[in-house]
Amino acid sequence: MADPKRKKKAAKKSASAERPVARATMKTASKAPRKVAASAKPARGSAKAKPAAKGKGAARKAKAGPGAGLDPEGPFVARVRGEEAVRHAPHPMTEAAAEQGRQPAPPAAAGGDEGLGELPWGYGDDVLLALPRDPHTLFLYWDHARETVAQAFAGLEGGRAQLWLFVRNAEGAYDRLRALDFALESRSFYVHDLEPGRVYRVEIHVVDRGGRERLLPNPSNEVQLPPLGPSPFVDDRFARIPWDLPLGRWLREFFPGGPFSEEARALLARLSDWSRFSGRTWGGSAGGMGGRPFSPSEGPSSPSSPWGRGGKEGA
Amino acid sequence: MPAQDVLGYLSIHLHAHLPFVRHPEHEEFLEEDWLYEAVSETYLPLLKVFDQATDDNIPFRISLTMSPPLVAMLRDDLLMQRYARRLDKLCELTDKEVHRTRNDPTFHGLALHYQREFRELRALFNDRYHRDLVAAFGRLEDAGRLELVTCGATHGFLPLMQMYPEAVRAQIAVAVSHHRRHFGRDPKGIWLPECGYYPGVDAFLAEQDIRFFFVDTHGITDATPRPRYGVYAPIYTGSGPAAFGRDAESSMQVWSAEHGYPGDPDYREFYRDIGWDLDHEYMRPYIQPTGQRKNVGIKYFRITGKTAHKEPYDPQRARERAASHAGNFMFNRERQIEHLAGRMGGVRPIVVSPYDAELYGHWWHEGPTFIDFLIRKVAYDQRIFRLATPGEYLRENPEQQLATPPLCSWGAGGYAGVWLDGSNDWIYRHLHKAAERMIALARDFPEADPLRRRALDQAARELLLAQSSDWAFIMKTGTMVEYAIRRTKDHLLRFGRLHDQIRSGGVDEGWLSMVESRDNIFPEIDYRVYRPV
Repeated sequence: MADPKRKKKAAKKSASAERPVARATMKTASKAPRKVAASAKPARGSAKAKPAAKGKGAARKAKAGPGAGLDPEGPFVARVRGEEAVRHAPHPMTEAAAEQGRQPAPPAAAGGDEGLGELPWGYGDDVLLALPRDPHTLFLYWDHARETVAQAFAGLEGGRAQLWLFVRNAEGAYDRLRALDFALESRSFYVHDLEPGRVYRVEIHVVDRGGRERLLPNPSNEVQLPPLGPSPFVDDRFARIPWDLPLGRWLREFFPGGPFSEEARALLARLSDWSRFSGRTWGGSAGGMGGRPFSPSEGPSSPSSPWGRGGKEGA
Repeated sequence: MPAQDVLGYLSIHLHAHLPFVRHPEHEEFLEEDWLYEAVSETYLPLLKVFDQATDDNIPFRISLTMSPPLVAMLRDDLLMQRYARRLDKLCELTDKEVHRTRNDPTFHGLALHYQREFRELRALFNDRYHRDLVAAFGRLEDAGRLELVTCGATHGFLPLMQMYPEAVRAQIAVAVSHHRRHFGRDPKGIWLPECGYYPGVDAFLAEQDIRFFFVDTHGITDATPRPRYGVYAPIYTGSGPAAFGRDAESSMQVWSAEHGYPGDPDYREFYRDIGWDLDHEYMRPYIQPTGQRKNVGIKYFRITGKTAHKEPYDPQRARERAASHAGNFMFNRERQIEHLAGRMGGVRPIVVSPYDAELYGHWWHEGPTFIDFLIRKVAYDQRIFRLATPGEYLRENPEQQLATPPLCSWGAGGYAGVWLDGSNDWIYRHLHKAAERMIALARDFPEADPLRRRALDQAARELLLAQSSDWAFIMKTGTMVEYAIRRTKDHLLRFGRLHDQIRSGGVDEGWLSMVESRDNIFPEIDYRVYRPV
């Protein structure tokens, strides 16, 4: 299997350093021609099946040659080997990698002949929605009618938009946790560094210089971020659910488990944990393998930097 | 092997899924290759392994997701005709390759190998399975060898849909109905798309009497209250369905890019395909009509090492390596299960090893052979554990701990970050709006005249197709982004137009018929699945 890191290293080597490899390959493949792509005749003998796969250099070659384009295997490789693997594949698998040698693209999809137009910029339905991204991060998007915004700012001097973030306390009431200045025009926002496992909700307010404020309808939904790490609660309750009977009533008939040592519980938790394999290079399904990251800094980043500081956060 | 005679269980699950890609409006369409390659390299080889093992009376048990989009495509006449045509062309190419390499002692044998392989695939597809792979998988379930589970209707990532419960319910209910229609029975298990769980989704599973699903490791280890047995026993969620957690150790042996079996130097090199390697003019009839190169599935080199230097592939040597790896995998599970059984106080551990099905064969060419050796070795060469499906395990072990997993997925980072990212977060305002509108339509039109009814059903299909997690994933990974964006937008725009026409009472029947014929998934759908409760 091609190893992206090694390929990267190989690509960094000088041309002369690559020559022995090239010779060895040629020897294996006997009469490998240099101008495979240029030949109009069928290659004769597999020797002429000279590969493009020579790390990054080869990828560049493939892009420049006839027939170069985006390798449709990209999504599959990303799925089974991870996002990094597609960035270092010998054929261009990302749109960025294919840019240089790009050929006119075939019709992208079916809708072109239906006059479907474009999606609307917004719906103007005065919504603020919160989505859980990971144990530390909320994603928010909002969409307000022009009149709603105008009314909210009306009569306020130097009004600016603030996100008010609330967290539910033990009594079920909400405490304001942060007030964040932000640009209403940005239409979405990642809130970082939150405490895992807590329930949050958000409001948008317009605040003016004089300290007056006005709620921009509507408040967000409540959303719970996932807890991170083993639960502090130990409460062994078991249920017996016979396979042949419908679900439902049996869950009311639970019973406590028998004695079980904390030592055995801890051992089994440790054996279950991905961290035993930390530090290794993972491929993996759905673009990653190894479960949750051990700290936010190990997580992915994005143009809107969900792990970083996508917006200005005030106190 | 009776359960009481073993110390524990190994549950291998293969998740077979591809997004719904079908473009009748084009004679050839690049992204349809995802299906054709997976049929040639994964589904047919796996069927061959399973059928042969069944014929040989090997008592194996494996669970397999057959996602609704995949089932729909495998049952689609147009796509299967196109696949048959593709196979014919590839057989023609292998004939040419045999001729081209006739004087080449290194590669001629390999060319003959591919000629045999593709001819066999064609015979399997046309003659043995009569172009109906869904029925072939169904027969293996009837034979008691496979346990088939369903998935979200279009692989929608449910945690980011949770504020629209009717939309979550529709993903599950439509999938169950589709599964019943194609396999003749209700699925007892589900692969939540991307293993995406959130607290509460289990209630929708229970509504459909789904008894189990899968989560990534931290879905169990971080559950509340803290599970007693780690991932080595399932937990019952609040509504009853059991969550099985992925075992890290056995996953690592296959998935790890650095140490996993598929990276062995003797295995076939994925990237060295003659579609990219050979003369452009020679390959032209077999690559894209635009002349752009692509894989054709004929690969002459083995992984060899981590440099660009590649040695010729030796199928027999690779097969022996697969046998050796199967033995190693089994040995490791024996030791693992022995160790666990000694610490679980009389409870028999289950080691759950889920994989993308397409990893086996399409990426790891020898993967189906590995499975073949593994199921045979497990049956005859050891007595420590036996293969069991989650359903079988629950039948034998109906008492389990109650706990609730956290929101989790098996994507990079372990949560929703793959599908909610700067590259794809723009889609949610549109997806949510469409879901809200669909729910309102189902509420406002509890009954509808035939034409409006067709439009309502098609609106439901378009929404489901737009929700596929594959599009957000592709945007995140930067691969076929243009296509993923186009698909998301087209389905949302079709939904929007249908919505407006339904509301105004002016359904354009001609256009509706065209859209029905293109996005023809779920012909049985009833839009009232979105009715608010």
